[in-house]
Amino acid sequence: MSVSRDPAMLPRLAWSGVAVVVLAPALVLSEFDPSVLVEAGNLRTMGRFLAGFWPPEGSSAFLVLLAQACLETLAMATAGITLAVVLAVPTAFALSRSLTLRAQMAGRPAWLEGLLRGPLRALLLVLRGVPELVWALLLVRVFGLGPAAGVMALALTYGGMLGKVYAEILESADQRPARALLEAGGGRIEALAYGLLPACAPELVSYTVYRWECALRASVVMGFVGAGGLGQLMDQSMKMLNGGEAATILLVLFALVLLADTVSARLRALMT
Amino acid sequence: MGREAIAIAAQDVAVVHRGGRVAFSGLNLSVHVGERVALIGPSGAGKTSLLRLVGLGIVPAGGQLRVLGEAPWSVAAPTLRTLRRRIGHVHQSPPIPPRQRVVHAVLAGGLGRWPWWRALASLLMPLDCNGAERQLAKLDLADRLFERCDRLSGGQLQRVALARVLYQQPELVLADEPVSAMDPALADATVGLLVAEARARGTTLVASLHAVDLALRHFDRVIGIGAGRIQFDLPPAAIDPAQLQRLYAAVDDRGVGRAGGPPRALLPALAVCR
Repeated sequence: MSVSRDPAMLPRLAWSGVAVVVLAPALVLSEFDPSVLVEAGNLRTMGRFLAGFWPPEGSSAFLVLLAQACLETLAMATAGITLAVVLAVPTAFALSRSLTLRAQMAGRPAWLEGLLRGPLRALLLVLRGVPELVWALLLVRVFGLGPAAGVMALALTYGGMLGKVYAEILESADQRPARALLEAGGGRIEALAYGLLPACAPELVSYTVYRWECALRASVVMGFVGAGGLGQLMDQSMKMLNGGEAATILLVLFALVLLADTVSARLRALMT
Repeated sequence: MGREAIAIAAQDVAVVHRGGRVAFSGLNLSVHVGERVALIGPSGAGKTSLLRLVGLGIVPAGGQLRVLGEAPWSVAAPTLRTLRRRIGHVHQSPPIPPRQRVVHAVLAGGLGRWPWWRALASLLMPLDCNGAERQLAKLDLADRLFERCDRLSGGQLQRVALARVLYQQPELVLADEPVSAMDPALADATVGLLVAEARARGTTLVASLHAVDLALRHFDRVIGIGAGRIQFDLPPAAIDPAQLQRLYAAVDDRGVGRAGGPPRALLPALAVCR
């Protein structure tokens, strides 16, 4: 008797092939050539640039300025993420397919779902399709120079990302608990709270905290276009060719990312 | 109430799984309100499909189905949802999130009648600990009220799922192998409790069981299902060993199931739990 062939084998091989064919040209198209890095002239240029960063600036006047900017960045990232979550939770809740029985089973027409979800999906796509830097450039013209524009930019882009990923996390969990609740006549909110959240909560929290870490870095970048915080300070230091100040700011950034990492690890430990 | 005296009425119902495999065709079944029915038969015979059909988890491909007096697939969405709340389903593997605590897993049985804000509030502060504890106590699990479900054994988890359905207080209970992870003595006591509860509250109970002896001992009507058809539908006293042999032997004819030798442990006298 011949051993029957795995029916999944051919598609799997084909997709692996497609992945190689699609990814390989990306390196060529992006003109990526690592050898440029180690050419003698380039190394010297980078070395001189980095040497300017030493020693880090430590004057008390600068440190006061730095502390202020650091608080501003923290506040910008935190407020931005909070608004993003406020935006993402209802959209993910509305989008996630795990919280509805198939149309036929719930006794309503099938086109209704597409009608509701299409525009929401499109909204999230636009929100996260525009980089936060571009949102910030736009919003600085409305809110003026300062962190407010950065907060709004983060809320929009990250709201779009969180909404999409939240919906996907909900859909990737074991669907049976929620479906059993829906089949017993429970509503969407109940099915979410009793069927999905227990399994998804750690992942939702850890992704949100990771996004907060990203928001910290992003708010630094947005500072360069006038959204305040560490970025704006860094921009000024670089323009005045003050490498020492830039080095101190970078050290503070490391500390912030480390902080985010610790918060994430603690929260995860609490939740398992 | 006249029409409601029939809990389940299926006429010529067909069930086709996704992928086209036919689970049932030409199914005729009638169960009166308050009846307690056991489904037995070999694995893959269609017991779960039948329970999911009646539990409104599968839409039939043909025929007429009425459950608790309603035709579920031709009523409006709100009526369908109300009907769903009147049916309690005990699934084969309890669909309870591992990190959920027992108290919430049991109170989830109340979700159908609670407004959403009450459901959310109960997650912060369980609103009916006593109610949950009362149902768990019947199943000897009251001391596990605040335990997380992933700390329970398979048999304990099945009892939590039963406590949820008891808490739901449905008019029709569908139980798909509700005691498959319990030892014979506990399984016997648990099925006994399920039947006694149904009798006390006048609810209809349909349970599929691997253990033939449990079906014969506790139920007033036993339906044998094999190869997607009802093979017999009799009171336990009228079932003879030859019928059971044939029911389980049908699997061997299809070339799956037990290889060689007579089917084991089919007779009530030899009863083995699973």
